[in-house]
Amino acid sequence: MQTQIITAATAQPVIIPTGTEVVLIEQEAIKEVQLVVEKNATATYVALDPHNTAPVKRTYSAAVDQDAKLTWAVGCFGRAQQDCSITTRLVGERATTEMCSAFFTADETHHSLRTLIYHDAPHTTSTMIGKGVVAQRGSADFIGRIIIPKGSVGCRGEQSEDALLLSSDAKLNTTPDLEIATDDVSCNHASTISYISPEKLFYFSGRGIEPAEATSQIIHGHFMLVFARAPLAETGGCTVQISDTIEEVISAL
Amino acid sequence: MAIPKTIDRSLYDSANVDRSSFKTAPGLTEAVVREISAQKNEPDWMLEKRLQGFAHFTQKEMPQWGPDLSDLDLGDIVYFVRPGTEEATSWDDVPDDIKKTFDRLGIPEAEKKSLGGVGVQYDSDVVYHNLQENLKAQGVIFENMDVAVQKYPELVKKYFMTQCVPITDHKFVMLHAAVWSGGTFIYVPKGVKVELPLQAYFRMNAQQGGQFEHTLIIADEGSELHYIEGCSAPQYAKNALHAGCVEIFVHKGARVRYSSIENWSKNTYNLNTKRALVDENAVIEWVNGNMGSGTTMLYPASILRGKNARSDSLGIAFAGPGQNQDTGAKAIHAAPNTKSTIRAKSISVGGGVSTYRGLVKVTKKAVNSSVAVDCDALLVDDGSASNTYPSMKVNNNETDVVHEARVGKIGDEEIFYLMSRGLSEEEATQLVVAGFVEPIIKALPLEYALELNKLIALEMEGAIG
Repeated sequence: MQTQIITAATAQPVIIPTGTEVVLIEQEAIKEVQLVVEKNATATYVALDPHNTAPVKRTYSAAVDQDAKLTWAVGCFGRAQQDCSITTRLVGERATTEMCSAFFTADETHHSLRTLIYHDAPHTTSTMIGKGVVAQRGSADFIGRIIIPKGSVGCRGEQSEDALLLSSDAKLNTTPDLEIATDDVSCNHASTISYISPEKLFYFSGRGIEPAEATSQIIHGHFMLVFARAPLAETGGCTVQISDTIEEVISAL
Repeated sequence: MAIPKTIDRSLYDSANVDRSSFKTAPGLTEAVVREISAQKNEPDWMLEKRLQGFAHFTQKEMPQWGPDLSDLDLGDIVYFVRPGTEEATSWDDVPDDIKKTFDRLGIPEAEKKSLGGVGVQYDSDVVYHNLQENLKAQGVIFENMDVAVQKYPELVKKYFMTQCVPITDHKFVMLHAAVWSGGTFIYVPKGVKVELPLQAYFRMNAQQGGQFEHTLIIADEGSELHYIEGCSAPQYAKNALHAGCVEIFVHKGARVRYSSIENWSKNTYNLNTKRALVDENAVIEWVNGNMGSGTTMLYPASILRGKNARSDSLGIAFAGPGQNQDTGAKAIHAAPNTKSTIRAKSISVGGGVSTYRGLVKVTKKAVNSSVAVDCDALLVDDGSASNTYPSMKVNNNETDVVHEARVGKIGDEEIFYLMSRGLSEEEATQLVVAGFVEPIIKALPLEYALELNKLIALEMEGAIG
């Protein structure tokens, strides 16, 4: 497996050649990234940037060809406003994508995360996983959409969006959309918005875990599905920094 | 066994000869609004409300979201058609041609068997209204909305298009405020439980007509009511418009079930508004079946403004050839311990488009609230479409919101299994669809459940295979 570092200077579009397996790691917030995943290639794109302190708008787009697979692990964890859009077009038969995204917003920060998958070819498969946490006076818009046009038979699409609200001042708008125009498909979505209830904290306290530690464990568990897509050896430092950001907010709750 | 098809579409789609005694010219002007009010001999305050609605309507743009409304020519609609008969309290006094229409639709028969009261509207006017004596004796009011304006002005002034659906709400509410006619007014006094359902049936007969009935239901503290609405119109070459409005006030501890089967003809734009304000410990239940119309935009809304208020919404939409059913539900949680459930099912067949468009909003005050939304869509053939646009806005961290949606086709294995037991492919498909809609059907009174099942079978006929 190859590893490629993506910076603002990287030439666009980034092409993942036929039959290769690549992990792409974004090292700084980049405004626009375009990926082309050629036939039989496997790519993982990791953008879990915890550093940004200035508002940023990011646009990711990708085309995935026949029998290729693209996994996204994209997060909005910075302490400044972020507007992030991820679009994948499954253009070749049997193409697959896992679009994993996450956000953590606190203070008075607003994050906007939009994820979109087009099943342009038959027998394509998509999994969209979104995880969010809104703390303090933070707010977020969380919009996901799967589109299966006419003729894209045998497709499977799954979408889930789960969010935790940690404060009575937190605000969240979530819209998990489906647009399906062919009958021979299986598509579903599930969405939850919940909170860390006193009952959950009581359960932890019965096992000797203090509320702050319990809150931390619940939040880390919440993000686990997204972090698990980022290869630890290459991105471990990044997730540690994200943990530090989360801990800082929890200690202020 | 497959569902017997004992009705045919002509039951709903065939028109009577135009018997109107008065109708306005196509199009809407201030003079038309004034003429409608004058025809009804309305008090000045109602005319003023109509004119305000008209002023807002002329300034408001058409909605830029949802289904395409570009073929709807609002200048070509006839906004007011009097059927040329007075309101009767006995079917014997209803003119023969109108009575036959409602006989075919089974209304007088249903009244005898299972209803506490019935109102029927033909174009712009109510032609029959009756309520059981024992309900009258308990203080229940069940009137034509036009009559209520004259008989109960204080109640109407307080509740009509004020806090529930204000006249500025959206383009078609503004239109409704200007040209509304007929409909139902119900008041159930404190503690009274209306055991048999009350029903209204709205029939639009006029070509390129519009129907704008207003339903206002006030369930006072601790009362109970089940109200049913049915609607249909004949099939013409020119488009028709239905822009009704339903306002329901469910006061403290009251319980209202509102059921409707909307079966307008395919040339009708059904742009309807339904909303309930629900107080402390009160319950609103919506059961909606949307079968007809070329284009529907209908999203019954519950505003849960009292502690422990609850809303349950069940909806079924059927989109056949040329139909665009854009339906859904809204739940606004504005008080603590409120609970809402939304269950929506849709069937798309023969190129039809069905859309679930919903809104759940949980305000900061609504602590300890819960929301469950469940959407199921069945695509019967290729070329039909299903869209799901749920929107959830939560501003509160002591709330559980759960949403699930599934879109899929009828399994080949299911059809194969049923065909191996001797059913044709069409019968097998109908049976699977009947099973799919069963949770909605079970919530309807028996007569309506049977009608809905037959309607689905009728609409699917020839669309399979």
